[in-house]
Amino acid sequence: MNHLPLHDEFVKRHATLMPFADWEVPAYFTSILDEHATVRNAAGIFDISHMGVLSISGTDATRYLNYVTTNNCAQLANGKALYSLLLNERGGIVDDIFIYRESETLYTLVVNASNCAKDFAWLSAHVKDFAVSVVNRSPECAIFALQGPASGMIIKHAFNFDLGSMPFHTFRTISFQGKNIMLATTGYTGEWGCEMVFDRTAARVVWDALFQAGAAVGLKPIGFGARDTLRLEACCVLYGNEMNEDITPLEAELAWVVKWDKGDFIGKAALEAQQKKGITRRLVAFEMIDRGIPRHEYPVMFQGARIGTVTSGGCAPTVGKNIGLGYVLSSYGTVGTEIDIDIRGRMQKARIVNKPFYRRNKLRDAHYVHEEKK
Amino acid sequence: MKFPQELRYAKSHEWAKQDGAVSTVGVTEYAQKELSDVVYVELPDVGKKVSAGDAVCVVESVKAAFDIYAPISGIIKEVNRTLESEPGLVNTDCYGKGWFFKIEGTDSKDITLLMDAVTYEKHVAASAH
Repeated sequence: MNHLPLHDEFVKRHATLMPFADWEVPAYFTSILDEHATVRNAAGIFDISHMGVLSISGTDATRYLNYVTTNNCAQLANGKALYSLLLNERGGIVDDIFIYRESETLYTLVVNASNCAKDFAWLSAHVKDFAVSVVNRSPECAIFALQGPASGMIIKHAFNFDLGSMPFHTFRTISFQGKNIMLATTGYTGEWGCEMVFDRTAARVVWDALFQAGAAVGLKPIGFGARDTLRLEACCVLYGNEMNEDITPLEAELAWVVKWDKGDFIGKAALEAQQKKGITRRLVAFEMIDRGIPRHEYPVMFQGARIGTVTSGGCAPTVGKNIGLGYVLSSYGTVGTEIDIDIRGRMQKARIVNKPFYRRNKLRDAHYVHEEKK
Repeated sequence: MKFPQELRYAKSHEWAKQDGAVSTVGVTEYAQKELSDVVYVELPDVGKKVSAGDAVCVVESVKAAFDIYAPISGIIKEVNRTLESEPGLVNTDCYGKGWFFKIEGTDSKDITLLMDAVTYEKHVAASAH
């Protein structure tokens, strides 16, 4: 089992540990509900150093990334972060990733921990027609996420940097005690905040600086249990649940990540064919009407007939409902459709709803910053 | 951790409190700690006949669902409807307001087969990782 850089700290704090990919990670420190609320109301810090960091460099870096991923890097400004997908030849999703463009010839990719080896092999296999090199920097990197309305205040006190000055999905490199930190306004919780990539040897120092800065607002370490409840409430998809190699972006409601007019890319032909034929299943968000909690793999039913499967489900503590994501036959995928979830043999009523379940209150977050300025 | 002396305990971490023919059943402090946040309880039907060791209802934490087992054989007399709106009582008051159901026992021997507090505490120490 691999350990995150702050593992000893987690043990010291008596975190309940759990396995995730090949890693032993904290499930929770206090409780999932407490940590979920802390991120929504104050701020929380996640050690997500298990994720993969790949460096793409060379004169063909942009052309190469445009071929191996679905989104368009050619029109991306330097300092922008871009959500994208790696597809196989069938149009199925190999991974969902974030691309950070430093320059036309230099990019950093952050990829899912469970797919890091697969992605590195896949990307390496496709370099031969391009002047580009792919380097796996994962073992030398640490990644933290700081999420919540107090994030700006904490970054200001820890690094003397104004997070509020950065537009959404951009990144800057800041210097802290002689180390470079790539700070990006990205996140997986639906809250304001940032994710930081930096040298693994600085993990302890950065962690301590953030905790010292965040003590006044009740900054807490957050486990993977709350990471999942937060992302589900924000309707963020999870590879392995909502996506796998047999699911296409058109089915997963990720067509917006696919740029058809940028030239050829792996999986384009298959997606075009599917678009012509029409998709047979689609990803929907639903909320429970009856009391039960939907979970991964539970059948989705319509008047006694099976129409799909739950991919992720659970309780949404902030919105006060039980919610889920799942695939259903396209014709049943309209918002407002009432469905049943088969929960341990009992049919429990649910309704397809618009995404997301939760949206942060930007007015509240702006107010948070102003209070600090007083 | 607290294991009240007057209760009897099952290996599966339920407690039973006998009052004549009727026993109240809940889960122990060890169980509620292992579960962490309880967010849902699916109570059994009143009148249901159960045998000792049967899975009779379900308790759900944020992450997973768990079976609750009848510690004695009998008929479900009453269920704690409050848990439907306040499942967190299982965590905050597992021996009091967090009770699950009451069984009218059919065999007076059953309760004697359960562990006393001292034996259960040893069982928990062996279970803990």
